[in-house]
Formats: sequence, structure tokens, C-alpha cells
Amino acid sequence: MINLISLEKLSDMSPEERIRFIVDEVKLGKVLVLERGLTAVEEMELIKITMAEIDNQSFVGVETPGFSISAKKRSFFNRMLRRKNPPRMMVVGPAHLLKTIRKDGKVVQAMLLTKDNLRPMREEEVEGTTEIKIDETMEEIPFSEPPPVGDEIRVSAPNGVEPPPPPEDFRKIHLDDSQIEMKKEMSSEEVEN
Amino acid sequence: MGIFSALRRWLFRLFKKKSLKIGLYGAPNAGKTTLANRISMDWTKEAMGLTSPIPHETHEVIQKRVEISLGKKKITFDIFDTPGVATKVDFHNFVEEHGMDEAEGKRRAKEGTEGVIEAIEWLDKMDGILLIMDSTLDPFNQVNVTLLGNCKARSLPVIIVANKVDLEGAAPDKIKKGFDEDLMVAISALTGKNMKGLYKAMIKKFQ
Repeated sequence: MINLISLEKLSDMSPEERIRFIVDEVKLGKVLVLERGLTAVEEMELIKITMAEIDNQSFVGVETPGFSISAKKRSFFNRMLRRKNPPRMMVVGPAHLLKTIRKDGKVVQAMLLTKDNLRPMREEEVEGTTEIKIDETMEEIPFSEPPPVGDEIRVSAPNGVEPPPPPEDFRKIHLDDSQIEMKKEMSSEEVEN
Repeated sequence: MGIFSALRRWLFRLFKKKSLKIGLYGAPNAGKTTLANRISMDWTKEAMGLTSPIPHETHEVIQKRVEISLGKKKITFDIFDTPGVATKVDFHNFVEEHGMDEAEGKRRAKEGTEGVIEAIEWLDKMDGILLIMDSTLDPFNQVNVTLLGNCKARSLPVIIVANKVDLEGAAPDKIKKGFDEDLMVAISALTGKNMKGLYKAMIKKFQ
């Protein structure tokens, strides 16, 4: 789940409440996009609280891909007045789900880890998930083509839920007789013009 | 918080405190303990701590007093080697990448988290910071930026140390360009390259 947190919501909270909110949400597995990031002091407090809450089971820490405050140069005016750059937008997520790929002053690239490349936190969590298994006897069908008409695709789910009906073939547009007549009239008018 | 720190340092200059507390901070494996050992060996002929490629090897703050003298200038520092600051500690890394069993991995992870908390709490007691960055890696990670921001928020004098310049792929210029408002010294704590430059900078910045 990805939650966008507005500046208003963040401003309504004290720094301690803000950090507590972030840690609690991230521990639930949510990725938060903060309209306004944390200050350096708040980030340090976030790290401190995160370290205290790491439990080696479901929570191993936070990943915070975001724009570096220092990367944006202070203007001459701000430097003269000793004004700091305001915190910029920030993403915070569970470290086992969110991975920063690349980061410079202008682009931050992060990846949400999926089940395919995710290392399970606990083995019992993986064993308990619902998995759709495709019959091994079925020929592999590429995603770019719709399933062939008339063939039955057998899908079984371990939890006994009936699979949804196969999708309609949207490439075939079925026209009734009146629509076919209208098309003929339109094409003959185009020829006359 | 910044005002009190600045006032404390002014009072120190006025009443000439015996020694300055200088903290070595940075991400895990940046070379903090290697640098602490280098400084300690240069001036006391004794090492400070154990180094290892395993992150979070240093899991508590270690202190040593050294007197650095260059020419006529002489300053006494209490050097504090701190645990690496990180936003995540996963025991799986110790198991998969460093061949530990699960119990040992969990123990090291717990030590690592406690070490980070201790390092953060010691920041308030420092008079100056050496912020060590691995110059072979991207310096704009959240830990480096957060540590630097906290030094500025506390009005702590800081020297950015671009370490590991002996390694291929080292790019201290990238660190200098990215943090151009701050004093930066490029060294190799392992080989001792440009340590004199660092000592000069420490005497100038922290006095």
C-alpha cells in the first residue's frame, strides 16, 4: 500500500507525533510519500526510534529514498542569511519492501520488491499465502495474445475459490445489421465527396 | 540546541578546556575504526578497536585521548570511534553475506541497532565531528545527509573525510562537489595517505 501524506496532515502533528506516525505506518508494511520531508534532526530521531523497534522478524528498518537536502545548493541570499533549505518530498517505506536504486540531485529511482524477488521475512508467511497454480499440462500462452477460443484453461486455487470466467475477446467487434448498413452508407458518401 | 552548543564552544575557548571531544561518524564500513586506529597509532602507538569487513563490528563508542602536534601547534583530542549509523539492520545480511548462523546473525543485528542508538545519543556530547564517507560509493545516502544536517543543526564544526582514496573507483571530487559548503579532506586511513592534511585541518577547524 502506498499512502500520500499531505502537508496539512504533517503540519497538524508535533515532530514526535510525526515520527511515531511514520514508524507505525511503515511497520504495517505501508510506503509513505510525504509531501514535506523531515528535517535532519527529525530524520535522526526517526533512525533512533526505528533501531529501537527492529525485531528481526517483520521489521528490519526503513528505506528513505528522497531528495538530499544538501544536493540542492543554497542560494547566495539564503547562505548570507544562514537560512536552510526546506525539507523536500520524501518517501519512507519498510526496508525489506523498498529499495533505492539510484539517486542524484534530480532523480530518485526506487523499487518496490515483489513476491518474486522478495526474501520472505518468515517462512510461515510464505507458506500461508494463496497461490494460483497453472496446470502443468497446459501450453504456455504469451501475455500478448488472448487465450485461444474453445480451449479450456484449468486454473486451480488451493483455497477452493472458483476462478473468474475467461475474459472476452475484445478484438472482435460484433456489429448488428443496422450498424452494418450505417457503415455502408457512410463509406459510399465518402466516395461521392 | 545549536545556540547552547555554540555557547559551550565559546566558553571553552574562553576558559581553555583541556581536550576536545571529536566524534568519528559515518555509515557502516566507511572506515571509522580504521581511521581511529590510524590516529591512535600515529600519536600513541596503540590501536583503538577491531576492524572487519562485517558491518556493525564496532557496536559501542570507544574513546581515546591523543595529543596532535604540528610544528608549534598542539591540541589534545578525545577521539570517539562510534558505531556506524544505518536506517536498517537485517540479520539475514549477516547470515547470507558473512556466513553466520541465524542465532549469531540476530545477536549481531541487535548489537548493531543498540550501537546506532548509542552513536546518536553521543552526538550531543561532541565538540566536533569527523564525518567519514567512503569515496568509492555514492555519498548522497540518507545517513551522510542526515548526519551532516544534524551537525549543522547543533552548530558542530565538521570535517568531511573522503576515505578509501587508495581504492579503484574512488571519487573524492564527487564528495567535494556535492558538499562544497563544508571542509573536505581526502585520505586513505588504511595506507595513511594525506593524514598530515587531516591533522592540519583538525587543528585549524576544531581549535
